[in-house]
Amino acid sequence: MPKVKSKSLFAIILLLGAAGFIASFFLGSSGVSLKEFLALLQGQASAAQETIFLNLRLPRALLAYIVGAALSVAGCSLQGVFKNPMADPFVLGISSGAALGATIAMAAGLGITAIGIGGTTFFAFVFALMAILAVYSLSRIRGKVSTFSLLLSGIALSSLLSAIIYIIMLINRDKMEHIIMWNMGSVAGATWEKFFIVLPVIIFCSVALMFYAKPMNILLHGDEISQSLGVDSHKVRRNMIILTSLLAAAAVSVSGIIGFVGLMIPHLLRMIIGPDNRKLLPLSFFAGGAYLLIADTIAKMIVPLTEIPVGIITAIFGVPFFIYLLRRGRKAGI
Amino acid sequence: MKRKVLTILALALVCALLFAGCAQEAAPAGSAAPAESTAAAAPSETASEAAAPQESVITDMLGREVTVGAADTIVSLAPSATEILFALGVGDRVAGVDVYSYYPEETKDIEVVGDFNGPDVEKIVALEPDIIFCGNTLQTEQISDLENLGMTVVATEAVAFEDISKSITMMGDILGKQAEAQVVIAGINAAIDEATANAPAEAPTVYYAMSYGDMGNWTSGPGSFINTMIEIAGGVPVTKDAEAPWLEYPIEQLVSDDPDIILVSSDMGSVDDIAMAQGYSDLTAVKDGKVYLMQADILSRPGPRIADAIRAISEALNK
Amino acid sequence: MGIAGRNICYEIDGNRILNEVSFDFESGFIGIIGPNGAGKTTLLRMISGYLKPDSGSVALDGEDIRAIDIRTRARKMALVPQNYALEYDFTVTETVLMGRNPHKRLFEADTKEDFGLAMDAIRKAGIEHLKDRSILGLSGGEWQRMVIARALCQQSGILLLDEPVSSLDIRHQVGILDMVWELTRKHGLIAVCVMHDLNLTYNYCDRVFMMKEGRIHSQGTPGEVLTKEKVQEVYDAKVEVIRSGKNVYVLPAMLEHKDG
Repeated sequence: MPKVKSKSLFAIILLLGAAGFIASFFLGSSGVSLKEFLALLQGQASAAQETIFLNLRLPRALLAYIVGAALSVAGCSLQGVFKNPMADPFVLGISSGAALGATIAMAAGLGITAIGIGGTTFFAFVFALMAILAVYSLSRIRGKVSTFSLLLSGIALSSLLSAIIYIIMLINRDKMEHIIMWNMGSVAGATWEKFFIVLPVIIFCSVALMFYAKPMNILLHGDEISQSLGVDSHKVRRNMIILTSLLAAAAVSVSGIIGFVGLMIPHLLRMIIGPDNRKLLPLSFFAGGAYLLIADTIAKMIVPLTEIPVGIITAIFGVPFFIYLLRRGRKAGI
Repeated sequence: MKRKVLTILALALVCALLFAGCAQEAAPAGSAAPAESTAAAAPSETASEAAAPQESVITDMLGREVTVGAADTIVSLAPSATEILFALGVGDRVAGVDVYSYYPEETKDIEVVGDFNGPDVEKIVALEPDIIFCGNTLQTEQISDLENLGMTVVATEAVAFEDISKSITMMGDILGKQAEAQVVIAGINAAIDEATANAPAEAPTVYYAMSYGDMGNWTSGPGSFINTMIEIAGGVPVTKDAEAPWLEYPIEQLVSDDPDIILVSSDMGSVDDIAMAQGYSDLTAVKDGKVYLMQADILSRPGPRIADAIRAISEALNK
Repeated sequence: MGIAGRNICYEIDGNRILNEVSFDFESGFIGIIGPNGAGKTTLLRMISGYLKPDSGSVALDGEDIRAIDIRTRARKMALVPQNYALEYDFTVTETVLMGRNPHKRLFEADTKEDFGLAMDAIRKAGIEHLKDRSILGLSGGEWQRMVIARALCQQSGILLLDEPVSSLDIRHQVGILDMVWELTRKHGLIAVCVMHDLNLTYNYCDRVFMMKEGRIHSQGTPGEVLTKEKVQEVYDAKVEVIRSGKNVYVLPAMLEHKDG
């Protein structure tokens, strides 16, 4: 299968990201667009229009981009580490942990604002980390973590956490709708604070994971062979899990559970550019960002007068993609 | 070959997005109009009424201290607040409402700026409201997000029955409609007095069926408006010893309680529907025909129509 | 020098996999044989440092193998595992280049020198015509050659092989073992090879270690170890040791057929 040159693919991805950004910036429920923006540049726009462009649309576009980037890199890393195409933050329970934290915060009405992070965000972060640590220790058999045990523990924990969330929702029926909406995944509540809090975490973790690209390639050959090639597989995996969970927790804590990005984007890229993680990880970052940005723009505008959570759009794209993947089978080079 | 396809697809997507961005210009012309006409109406209104307070600090129903000033352009995110606003005579200042604010009828011409997903912040900001009234469904985080954008947000929804008059008074103060507020409150108090006076000699046991059947048997408990109103009207709610203001009631318990009267939410179909429901068909109240339909909104909205609710319950208890 | 094992014991769930195993591998082509379950692969994993013995130790050039960090170990020993498969679309060259990893830092890119070494190894392994091929399309023999090329890239003094030719056809079996043998002769590598086939063992190995139930039953030259009696004891099977000219063949004794 002829491989597309990564440089041209990169250019296309950046282009898509830019286009998505432009669309997102000029589209919105209030209808303000290019005309008003030009007025803004000339200093003739109203305070409301300035707020809309600079404090609503801009942070939302940027947040959608880095959340998409984060989820995509997290998915790619997890697939490499566990050599399993199904590995992604949701399957391993990170997203569920974040969701539980957020649900608890919402139910208890905890709106503590520490440096501008809402209580929801903070709790989501803490619980996501707790979840991944729980899964990690649950799945350790004789001091070693196997792919199978990790994924199984992740699924078990996700189910348990979902059940707890449901119980909390039942007790707090008045908040139920809001909790459900949050669990659907949305960047509609984007603020500059949220963006600036998660930006450094996401950048740091993404870059750190890219450093592990080569060991990740080797890790695909199994623990024993990796070690014989000089890769301390257990240490590398452990570090990657920590970085990935931090990455995913940051994303989920500001946007709820947005599924399929971490699953779809790395796979698509792998089909086009091959399995070398040294190219996949950076491309996943930018492709994931562009993808979620475009998906969010669609979510904003597709049904007039209402906002669809972007998590639904990614699911609508993600599911058919999976059916296609399953049918193509091994030839997809996965 | 693959590269070519990819490039074409990408360019197509880019074009589509850019086109969408430019095409959106058409919309603003339409949505700007209603906002402008409301703004035009407001100034003349303000001139002819009782002096609206300058800047003052009020404590809202969530216990927050909020600085409020003029209230010429209003957004209401709670149906109860909307009803109170119209009852106070400032319905024409309301520029945006949430999707559940469909009473009174005038609301159908007002732009919807929020639904079960939450408030549409961009639309709200575009309306440039002086004040936003919200209910209990708005999360603390959402409130602070709005405030960070420079909006004034006041929570108006009473949780306890006794606080309903407090919230109406507060809104009257903010809008400079203190007299009108007192009238609304008087109306509610009159209904309470009537109902108390008309309490039946023998206190009937009452059950409120908020939902039944596949939706589960949800009912009201102590602390809810409904239970309070039933007691005011002289009834005894079967759930009076329960733990929560909203609960799912075991059907067996209901059969053993065998209430004298059953009130059904109008959202759940007709009186005949519940009469046929599993477990309900054997109840005394059903057999005696003492099942009465209650209009769902008025029972749970802490606004002027609480008076209607009390009257309806009192009527049902006395049949 | 070389690899020395002292009183290695290893147990899983109460089963003794290795029982007081000691050995010295100093040079040449060393074969480890024994029936299934004798502990051969486990022993190899002790030697590579992948597994830790419950008691006893393995020393590499006098140093405890577990005390050496993984990267340094990889520079001293290279592993050629049993034929396995990978469902990722890497090329042969990319895979062989992974053998350079022990010599590189975390983010260091592959240099011209690395490419040179890789090509060298690829040539030695006789797969130059496959260098840009995807690994998804390789045959068993081609795969093993690639893995050996990768091991060669590691420029280690020791080669550990785990039944490297068991699932290959005759031509490739001989080809690969020839290559390993040459490496021990021409480049002074020590090759520790878990072998499946007694015949091949006899003809390639300098020293043979025969294991039974977690212990080393006998060790020595092929002639000393692969006798009818010893094989019967360990494998519980009859073999014939047949000399034909300069060659020796160790073959299973055929059962008497009814129709003579």
